[in-house]
Amino acid sequence: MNPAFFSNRHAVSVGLLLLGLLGLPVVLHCVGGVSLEQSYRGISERAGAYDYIRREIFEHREPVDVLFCGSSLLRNGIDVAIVKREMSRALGRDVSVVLLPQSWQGPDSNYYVARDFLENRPVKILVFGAPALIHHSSQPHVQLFRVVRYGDHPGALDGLGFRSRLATYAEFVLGAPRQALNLLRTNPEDPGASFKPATGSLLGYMGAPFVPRPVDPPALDARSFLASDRSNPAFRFDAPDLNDYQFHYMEKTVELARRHGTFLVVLHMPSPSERGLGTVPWQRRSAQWLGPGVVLAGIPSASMFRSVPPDQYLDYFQDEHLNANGMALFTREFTPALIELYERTR
Amino acid sequence: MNEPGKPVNPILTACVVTLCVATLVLIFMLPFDSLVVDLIYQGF
Repeated sequence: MNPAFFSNRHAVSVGLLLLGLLGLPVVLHCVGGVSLEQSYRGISERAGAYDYIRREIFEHREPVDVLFCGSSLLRNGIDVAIVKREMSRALGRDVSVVLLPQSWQGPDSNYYVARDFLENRPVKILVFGAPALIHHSSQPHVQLFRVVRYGDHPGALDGLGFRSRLATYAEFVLGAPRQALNLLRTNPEDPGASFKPATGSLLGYMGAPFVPRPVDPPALDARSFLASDRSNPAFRFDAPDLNDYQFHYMEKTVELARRHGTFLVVLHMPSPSERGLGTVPWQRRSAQWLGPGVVLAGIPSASMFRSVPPDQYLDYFQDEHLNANGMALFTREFTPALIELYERTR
Repeated sequence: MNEPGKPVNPILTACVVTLCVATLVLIFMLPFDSLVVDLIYQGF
C-alpha cells in the first residue's frame, strides 16, 4: 500500500494547509480591516434581498418605526406599502417601515440580520417572523456562512450546545475564503439586484392559475391578535416544540430587542394547514418569550378568512406562502394590531 | 517518495490525520444545502 505521505515535508504541507483553512476565520478576525458590510455585498438575490438589506443597514442612519425581519413567509405576507400608508394615516405623520426578507428558514439568520440592523439604526418595533410549525431544522441557515463572520457578534453563541457551535464554526470556515478575498478587493454588487418590498406573488395554490380576489377584511378586534401573557384564549401553546437551536436564537432575539429598547412582536404567519382553526397554534416554549417589551401576534385562520367563501380559501396561498391575495388580506388585518401596539409603546 | 530508511515521522502523520478527520467532521456538520443550494443558485 502506498504511504499516505511521501515525506515529512509532504505531511507538513498538507497539515499546514488544513490548519490554515480551519483557522482562517480566527486569523481573519484577528487581522480585521474588512467591514461587515462586505459580507452582505454581492450575494445573489435568489438567496434573499441582501443588497437591499445591506443598503438599509449600512447606508441609512435614520430611525425606523417598524422593522420586519424574517424568511420568505414574512416577505410574502407583509405589504410594506399598506402598513406604511395605514400607520401614517392613523398616527398623523410619515411612518418609516422597513422589511428585511431572507430566503429559506432560519431564526439564526434572521437574528444576525436584525442584530446588525439594530446596532446601526434605532428601531421602535421589531416584527420578527416566528419559526413556522413545518420547520424543524436544527442546522444553521444555508446562507449563514456568507453573512456571519467569526467574532462579529459577541455572545450570540452563549448557551448554544456544542454540536450547534461546531456547525456554526463549520459555517465560518466555509465562508472564510470569501471573507479573505475582501482583504484584496471589495465584493461587486449583484447587478441583477432589484428587490422592492410589497410585491405579492401572482401564483395560484400549488401551480394553479392565480385568481385575483377582492380583499374585504372583516371588522375584527385587533387586540385579540396580540398576547402579552398566556391569557389570550385565541393562542394555544400546544404545537410540537421548537428544537434547541431555534429556541436559542429566538431567545437571543428577545435579549437583543430588550438591550436596544425595541418592542418585539413575534409574528405567526398563516398556513394553509390551519384552515378553519379558531386559535393560533404556537410551539410550547414560545410562551417563555412573553414578558416586558415582547408580545406574540397572530390571526386565527377562522377569523382571517371569515369573509372568504370556503371554496376560495386556497386562492390566498401559493403554497406554505401567502400569494398577493393573502398578502393584502393579512396585512390589512394585522396593521390595526400594529397601530394598537405602537400607540401602547408611545 | 521516502528515502530508504527515512520513514515519515509517525507523530507527524497522526497529527495530519487528526486534522483531516477534523475537516471531515466540520464538512459533515454543514447543512447539505449550504453547499448544494449555493451551487445551484449562486455559483462560486
